[in-house]
Amino acid sequence: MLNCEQATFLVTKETSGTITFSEKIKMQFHLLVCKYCRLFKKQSTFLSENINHQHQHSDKCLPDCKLEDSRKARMQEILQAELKKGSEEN
Amino acid sequence: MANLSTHNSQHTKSEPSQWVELYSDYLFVYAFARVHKKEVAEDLVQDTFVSAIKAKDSFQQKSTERTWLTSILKNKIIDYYKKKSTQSEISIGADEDSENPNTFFETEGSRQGMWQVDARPGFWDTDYKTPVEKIEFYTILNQCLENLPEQWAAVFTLKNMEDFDAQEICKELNISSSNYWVIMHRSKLQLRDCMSKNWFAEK
Repeated sequence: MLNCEQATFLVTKETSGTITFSEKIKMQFHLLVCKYCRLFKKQSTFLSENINHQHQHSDKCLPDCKLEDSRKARMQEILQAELKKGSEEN
Repeated sequence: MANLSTHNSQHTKSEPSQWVELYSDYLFVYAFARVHKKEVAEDLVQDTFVSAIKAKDSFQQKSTERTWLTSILKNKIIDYYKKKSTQSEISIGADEDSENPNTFFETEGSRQGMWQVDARPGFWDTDYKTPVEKIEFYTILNQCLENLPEQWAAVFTLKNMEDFDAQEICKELNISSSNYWVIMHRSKLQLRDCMSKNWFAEK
């Protein structure tokens, strides 16, 4: 019988599909009898899905992450300098 | 139609001097969602523009300009994590890591390997099936990701980025596949625990 540490390890491994058949049987058996590991599985799947959701919906990190105007202005300056450098080389 | 994809059609191409105005917000948010640190995200966007200027002749309108810039940024993010993970040995022993004293499981006795009482997952008051729409949730999620040891964050983020599988990540970050799984496991344990305490406050 797996302990919780081993079972949650296999839960993690399962998400990338590299789990073997016998590992999967052992994991499923543990999950049947352990509500904490069932919750771990459900919650870590939930978090992964929300991380992906955030990656696909960029507005999800506002308002915490906003590029400030002063930083933009500095970026613009650096970009202009690079452009100037580029045109002088040509 | 055919000449739309040729090098000669310039109409979807903007001047580099407009890039900051057109794309910096988008690229910054893209970077921030993946590096979780504001200053790092800012620098990566700036480096992206500088690299893009040097490579601008190689841009062919097979994709939009934004997609092209995003792919440059994506490579910058991968490089950032590669650098991070080679700067120090990948640490997987949580016990010796003072920043991360969490072990989550009993380390000895008859309950060895079982959840420690105060680390056991509890119920979250949420609908697990639909994505959370609250901005605050993502703010805390980012803070929790930022709290992961850097090498773990490297593995974990690359895994969550598009087009990467375990083998590629091991190769890029030069780690063994067994270490990879240990890091993924510990990252998930820590992230789940962090969200529990800071967002769901189950305890």
